[in-house]
Amino acid sequence: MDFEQLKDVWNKAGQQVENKSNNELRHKLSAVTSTHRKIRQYFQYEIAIAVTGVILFALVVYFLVDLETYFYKLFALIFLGSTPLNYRLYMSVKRLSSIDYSNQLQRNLILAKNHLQTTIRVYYTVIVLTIVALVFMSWGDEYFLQLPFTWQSGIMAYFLLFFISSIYWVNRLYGGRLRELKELLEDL
Amino acid sequence: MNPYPYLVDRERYPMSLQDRFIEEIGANQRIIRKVCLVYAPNKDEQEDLFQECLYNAWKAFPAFRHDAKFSTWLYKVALNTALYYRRKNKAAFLQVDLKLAEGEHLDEQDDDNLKQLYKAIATLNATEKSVILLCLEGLSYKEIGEITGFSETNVGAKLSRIKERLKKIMTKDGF
Repeated sequence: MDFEQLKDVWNKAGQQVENKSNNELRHKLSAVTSTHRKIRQYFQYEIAIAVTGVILFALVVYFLVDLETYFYKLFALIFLGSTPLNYRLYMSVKRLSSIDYSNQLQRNLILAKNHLQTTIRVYYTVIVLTIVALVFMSWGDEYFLQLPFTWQSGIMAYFLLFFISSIYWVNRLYGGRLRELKELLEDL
Repeated sequence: MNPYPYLVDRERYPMSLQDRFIEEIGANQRIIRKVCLVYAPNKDEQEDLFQECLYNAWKAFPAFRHDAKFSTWLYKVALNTALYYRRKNKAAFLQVDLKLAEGEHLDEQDDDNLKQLYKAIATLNATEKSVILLCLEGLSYKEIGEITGFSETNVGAKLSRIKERLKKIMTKDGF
């Protein structure tokens, strides 16, 4: 069977594609628009809840709990490390809602690949810097140096676990999609 | 009585942006349907993808300039949406719901050919799908290039490679 015959079958089938009335299309559009609006709203709520949580936690730690300085330093470094990650996440969500779907396919694939690549680089850099800062801070802190060796090893093992699992999740969440996009672009 | 007189009598009822959009989409919805058939493996996901295409087209519509054909613009929106669309069930990607390919008015032979064609297309990657879809829709190399961003030579080279692959798959299946 040659290609022209396939084209012919394709066209015949195309004439039978079920068409929706304008009224149905209008309903569909209104339903999907309100769903997207709700999703955006939920996202705003989530951000508000997260920010309130962080502020409350900081207030409780500052005013009510008497902790060693070492723990304050730990919280501060983790908070500092998570800030660029949250900002990047916010930028990704913003980008998703502002994609120009009327661009040429190749251009959009390149933009998506570049964004994803930068996101992964930012995540890796921040994770590595945070872990390095945590390790250096710990070995330079008197409280940590006075801890028994088992505790010191436990904390270091925790940092290592944190490092490995963070890299694993970044790779799992974004790496696959990046490889997929790269393969598509290499094929062009 | 027509429930939407403003769709007909434009002088008395100047059309809103949404009315114009719905009218254009109504006349070209076959494009979205075809894209959904090729990119989504089952009826539910096709419906999801259709809605996504509709939403993205609506978002992009205010920027649509009439210097390009609406159909070309809609192909871009629908194909871009399909490329970004994350399938809920990745495992089902290669298991095309063959019921979708059954045309009520096609004879048995055409029906079998169509099923095999959908099955063969399902084995292509996302960009190859877009090129073959546009070619089957009868668009010229220039138009395909305009939508995808590939040069005409690249489109030609890609198409002959894809056709060769489709032929191989379909021949292997006895077509």
